[in-house]
Amino acid sequence: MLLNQILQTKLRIYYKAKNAEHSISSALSFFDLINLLSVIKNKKIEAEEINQNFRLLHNEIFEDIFNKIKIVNSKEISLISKEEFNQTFNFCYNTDERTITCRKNINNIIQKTFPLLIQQLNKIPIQKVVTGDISGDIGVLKDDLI
Amino acid sequence: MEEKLFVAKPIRQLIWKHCSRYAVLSNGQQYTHLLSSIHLLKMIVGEKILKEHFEKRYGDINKTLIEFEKLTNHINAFCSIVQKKDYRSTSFYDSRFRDYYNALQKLPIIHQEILEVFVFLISQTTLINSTIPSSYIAQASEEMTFETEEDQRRDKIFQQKDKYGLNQYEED
Repeated sequence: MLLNQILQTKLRIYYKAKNAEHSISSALSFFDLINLLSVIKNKKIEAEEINQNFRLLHNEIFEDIFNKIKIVNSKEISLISKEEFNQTFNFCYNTDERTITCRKNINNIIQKTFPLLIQQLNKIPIQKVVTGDISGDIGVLKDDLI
Repeated sequence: MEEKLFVAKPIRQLIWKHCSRYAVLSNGQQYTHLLSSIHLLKMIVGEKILKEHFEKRYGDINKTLIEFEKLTNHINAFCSIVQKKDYRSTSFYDSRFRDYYNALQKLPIIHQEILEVFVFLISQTTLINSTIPSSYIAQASEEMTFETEEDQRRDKIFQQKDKYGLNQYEED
């Protein structure tokens, strides 16, 4: 019951984060959802596509960040200005081409994976629990998302 | 039916509190609450049961838990300086900022193994059949430190600009 409640709340939070277009936050709650689901289902997420997309999404978000960390660590920072560097890094709110493409890719991957995730979610019996204002009726939530 | 370990009320409330924050937060801080729940549950269940269950994997699991602890420390360090402050004004040249993102990229990978421990520990106690009180969840939702008023204002402006394609225009 407790695990179902956590899963249910995470789903609701993801839904909220998705609407806010906050890429890192929504992607993190998406990773949490996949991980929690796979553990509750005892590592048996049947759709291999979910696992593949997990890796794709992870690369998409963190590759760029990780490269920048490498640059700073290797002290190549004089090559670019501080403003340019910080601006590129906070990709959720930036408007350069790379950022926009990145954000689109993230959304595409999540959109492709989400119906599969819901499919898996339907296979586990989710008990209805009372959980305050964040969590609501999972049935209604699923209808909204699909 | 397997007998579950009884959890006293104060500890039960503490675990619920951490679980509610783990469920609600999505800025990295959820992992620190997951770690706290695991520590509390480990205290109740005991190393022996954990060792018997995971057998050969026990050593690896312990290593992963230590790694998890280190990463969550980076998150804590960063979050402690951005409370009530717009996190995007934090400089990338701050090592805590870099460590925070570094931790974030590693956490989703090891998260599954950590959750396995958490699910096992919780299944050994009476908490498995409990539900977190709604007030805990509501309280946790108010603690999303990264959602400041400044965030909301910027989001709104960004969305409006995006709608009319002004973001690309500004770049030129």
